[in-house]
Amino acid sequence: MKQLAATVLVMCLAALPTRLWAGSASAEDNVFAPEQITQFAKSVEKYAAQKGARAFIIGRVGRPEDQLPEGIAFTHTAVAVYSKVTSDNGDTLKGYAIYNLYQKEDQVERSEVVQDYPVDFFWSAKALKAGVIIPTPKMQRALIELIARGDHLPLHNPNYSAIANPFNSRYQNCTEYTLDIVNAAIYGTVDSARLKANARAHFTPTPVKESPAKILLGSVLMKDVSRDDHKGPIATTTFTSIAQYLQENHLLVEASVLKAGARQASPLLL
Amino acid sequence: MNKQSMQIGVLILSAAMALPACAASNNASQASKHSTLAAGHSVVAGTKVVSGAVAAPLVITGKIGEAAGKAGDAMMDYALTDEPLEVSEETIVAQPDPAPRQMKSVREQGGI
Repeated sequence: MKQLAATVLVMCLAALPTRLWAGSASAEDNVFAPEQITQFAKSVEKYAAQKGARAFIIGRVGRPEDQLPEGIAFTHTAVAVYSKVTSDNGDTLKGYAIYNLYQKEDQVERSEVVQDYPVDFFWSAKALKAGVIIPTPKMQRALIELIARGDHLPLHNPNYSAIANPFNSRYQNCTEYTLDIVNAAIYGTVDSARLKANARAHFTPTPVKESPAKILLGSVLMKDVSRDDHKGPIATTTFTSIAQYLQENHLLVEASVLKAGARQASPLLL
Repeated sequence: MNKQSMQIGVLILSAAMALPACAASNNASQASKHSTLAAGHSVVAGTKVVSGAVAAPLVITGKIGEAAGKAGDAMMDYALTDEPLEVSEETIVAQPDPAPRQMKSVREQGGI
């Protein structure tokens, strides 16, 4: 028993200084072969393009699916915009550019806005599975206009928490950032107070189904988990809750799940 | 080491392992990705890999201020259709960040 306890403590100590989410120091590296990732990323692009989506919300699974908490289908969410891409050798290409909030590699409690592409987005996926939320064309247009103006940039809050409360501006994570972009496009404002007031009035976050003791310990031990922005039960923005929000407000065309090797997309369960 | 200490240890470990799954907003390892794909110099899964230098939403032409004009309106109307869109076969990746380690990595690959 003593040996087991010592082993557990050693594992704890080993986990603490690292990125912490999976007890792995190399959580960012690819687990699938580059060929698999590039093929899957291109299939997601082609799916959205076939649907005529000029802007859509994209989700990936960033940790093993059997470790996902109940009610959480995707761990990273961003906005994809159909774009003309000029390559570094001058070629002009067509595809999707993705606007993300990512945690900083060396400072996990801080984040930055990064524009990348589908292969970058899925590079560290733990399952070749994508979430695709296609908003109505008018909603797409509002998203594109907002991003083209650069108004997605002032919506960023660099203070990161994995369980950020979407109803205030203390912390932000990738999904809350996506929600803020969506609401900024809907309401035509980048005013944080207005966006949060509207979120409180109309958006329903996903409850985090973990024990209060575990959440408390996580917030003490992990730099990228904070709970001081919550009062009462912890709830946060998720890919699915954004899809539900758009559906409830008649702004959704479809919400689908694409899996590598599957013949067709399946509907996201809302 | 008593039972209580061990329970606390297990709780700490399980918290560390499970909590951040709500939003693991981690970027892909740039060094890993670029050393693997060697953007601009390789073919992966039968398609050429290129670095995307600039991306511009395709419904926007010229300066954003021009979007309200006649040409801009036409482009915006196009955005309201659901016609299938063309996607290039090339695989586009973000350029490596300009940190010294990345420059060294690219130089070592013969990119510079």
